[in-house]
Amino acid sequence: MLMRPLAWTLGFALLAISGPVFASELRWSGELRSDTHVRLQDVGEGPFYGPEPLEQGLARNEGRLKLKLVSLGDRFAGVADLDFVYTGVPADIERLSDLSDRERTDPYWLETHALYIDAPEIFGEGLDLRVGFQKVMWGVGDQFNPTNNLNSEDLENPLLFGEQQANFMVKFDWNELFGEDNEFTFTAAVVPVFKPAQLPTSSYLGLAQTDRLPFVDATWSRVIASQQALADGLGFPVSVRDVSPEMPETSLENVQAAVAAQLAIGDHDLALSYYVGRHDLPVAVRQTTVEGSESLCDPADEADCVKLLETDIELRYPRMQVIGLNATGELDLFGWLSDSVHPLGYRLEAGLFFPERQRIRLYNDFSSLPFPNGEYDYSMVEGAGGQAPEVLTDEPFMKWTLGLDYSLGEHVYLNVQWVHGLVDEFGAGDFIHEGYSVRTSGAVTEESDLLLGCVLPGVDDEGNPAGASGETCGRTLLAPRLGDYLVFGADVKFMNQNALIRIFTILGLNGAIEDSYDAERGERVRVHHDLFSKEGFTMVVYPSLAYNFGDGLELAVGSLLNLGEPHTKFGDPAAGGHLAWGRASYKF
Amino acid sequence: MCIAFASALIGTGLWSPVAVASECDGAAVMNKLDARLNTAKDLELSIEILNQIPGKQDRTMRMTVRTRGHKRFTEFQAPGDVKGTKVLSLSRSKMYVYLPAYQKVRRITSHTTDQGFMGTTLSQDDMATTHYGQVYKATSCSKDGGSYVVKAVPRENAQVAYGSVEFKLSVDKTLPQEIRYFSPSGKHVKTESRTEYECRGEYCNPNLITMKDHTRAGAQTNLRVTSWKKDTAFSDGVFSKRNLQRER
Repeated sequence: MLMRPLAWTLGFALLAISGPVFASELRWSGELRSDTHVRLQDVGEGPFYGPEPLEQGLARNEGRLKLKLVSLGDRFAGVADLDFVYTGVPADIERLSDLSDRERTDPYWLETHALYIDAPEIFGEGLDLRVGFQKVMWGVGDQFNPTNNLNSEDLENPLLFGEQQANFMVKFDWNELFGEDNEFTFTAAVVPVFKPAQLPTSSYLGLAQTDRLPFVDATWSRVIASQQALADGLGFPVSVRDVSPEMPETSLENVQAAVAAQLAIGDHDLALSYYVGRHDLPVAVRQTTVEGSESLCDPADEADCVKLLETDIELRYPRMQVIGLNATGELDLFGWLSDSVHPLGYRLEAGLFFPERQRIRLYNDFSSLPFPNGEYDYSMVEGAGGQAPEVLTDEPFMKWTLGLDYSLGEHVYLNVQWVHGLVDEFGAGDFIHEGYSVRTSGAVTEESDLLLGCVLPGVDDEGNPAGASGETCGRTLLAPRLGDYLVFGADVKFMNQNALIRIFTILGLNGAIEDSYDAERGERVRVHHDLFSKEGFTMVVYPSLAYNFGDGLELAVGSLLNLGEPHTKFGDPAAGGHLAWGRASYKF
Repeated sequence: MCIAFASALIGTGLWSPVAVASECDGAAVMNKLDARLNTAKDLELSIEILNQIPGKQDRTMRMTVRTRGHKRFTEFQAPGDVKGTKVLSLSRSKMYVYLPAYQKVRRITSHTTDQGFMGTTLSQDDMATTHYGQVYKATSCSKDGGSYVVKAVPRENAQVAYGSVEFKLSVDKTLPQEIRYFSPSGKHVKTESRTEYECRGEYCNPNLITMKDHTRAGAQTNLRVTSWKKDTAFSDGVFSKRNLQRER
């Protein structure tokens, strides 16, 4: 079904290049690129009832034709920037007839990077309009841009940090020059239809992380962790059956909008922005857990049988408003050392987020377990006040990127950034305002009686009814909801600038916090594992070597190493594990 | 014939300022030079760049340049790996680049401005200097036949990579024939020659500029102006960050 329209699109594009052009100039450029990724080890090996792990071997075998066409009229321009991507791996070949189906033997897709009309100075001098699918790339940070919210993230290819998806929008710019070489620009943009983030292919492995509880409140995490441990011990492990995102309706209410005022004055460029819309990664808002009807046995050990607590999860994209600040320029911090020391380039990008509170409603349908069916009785948990637990508070929080860069001669370029809050981190919780996400959870005991006491309401010291607290059972490994990362990049150019060795690293700075009950002391204790400990270490190492042969041809090889334990940010199986990769690119 | 002869003289160093015939006022000559270089209100140039590095295949690029006073807007047309790259130079310390792959405008920090511009032997500084008298102060001047030879050093607050320069200027029009660049330690690092001047009214344009980098084993870049227009009175908006992102 898709093949014919795509073929037409490609055909029209080629006709546009070769055919007659009336009263306009046609410019075009493109790239032929092949990307090969090899996964270096199996990733996401879990229990027999969990999702299939990603196997070692070929992870990507992609051919891509990038084509950019710009039709220039006397005043206006039309721009199409499309990628035709062939996966290079046959999909779902199960029957003989599938071998006659090109959509299965040659799977492909189309990526739209731009499809818009550019109308500069349409309403007068300095007043521009751009309408159509486009990317509006705000933010001075390198690849980590908390103020860049109009487009949604494209996380599909793990090598392309910061990649965005084009969105249909109407964008207006007012540009005014003043003084010798200063400039003011006001931008307003409206995005009628929300587009969610494109997720990496490895993201499904996150479904196996049933102990990564989404609750803001520590009591809820302890209680549910204890409940899961109890059920697991009784032979009823939790398994995610279905995850369904609820897409916002296409309505006026869900239109996203943003404005920005940018000022380039003297040695500094400043920008203030405001965005109202939604976060492009969803949070869980409803969880329904149903006891499976049949026992499942481990194929490797038929005596190991369980009944799954099958869980369906509904996701929602939370509303948010973001006030952004961008500043870039130069700081002459070390000029006093020598005249030959140039000023450092600085980049500061900060977003102040105002999220919409989200709660998760929990439903159970058990026949064998001692928990009530129907909607969870939230009053059973201490401090809940009868309300469903929060997964996102409405407390404002900040994410930022602060970077410096410097060149050592013409061969070495250094770039260092402090990133506070990665793209998938959302919600208050950092060194400014305490708040944690649960990286893994469980119980300090396997004894059913003890666990039952932790998950059911009891009485307090004075004999009054009290909600469950999980106080003496729950064990969680925590990380701040907004992590801090040291991003370091170095480029070394040699062989007359044609060869480039690049090393790019992201080091998690927070470590991990283990929260558990100390029976001897009779209280809960927290142990901090620092960033270089086994439990706390997490890092990305991304080295590459590229050579530019001239005339548009470049070959590159490299690897992406996601280091750390499975509970950590980058050691998480959903991050996809270690990759080796090669790329051939011919630009024309 | 004349060009070949001149080149031969340059090559053998026979125009060396050692053979001083008479002295001249360096500051006045520099002022005259800047006035001559900036007689056009604005310029639009199409340029073909030939980058030659010994032992490497020659690399050709094409670009269009629009200039007005200190300001310069450059757009690359070929080859594919630089096509669509745009550079806005508002002053020697305020430059921006637009990289189409990232669709972002990025400020060029001064620690990169003395590096090769797009792999050529010309630096951003070399490209951005339009008024030499504002950057360099003449320390000596001599007149040798048909040429002035002016030695100059950077002014106190000028951020330049060179320790000194020597201009060889034609006496009749006070236009650069050759500029020699020296490192702060006095090493001769680059030689820029400007030839094939074409005059339209007061303004004369060098249709061939060659920059030799003596620190890179004889690497050189030729900028061949294939066409040029002056005084077209294009909008000031050309020299804006906003324009870097426009398609038209």
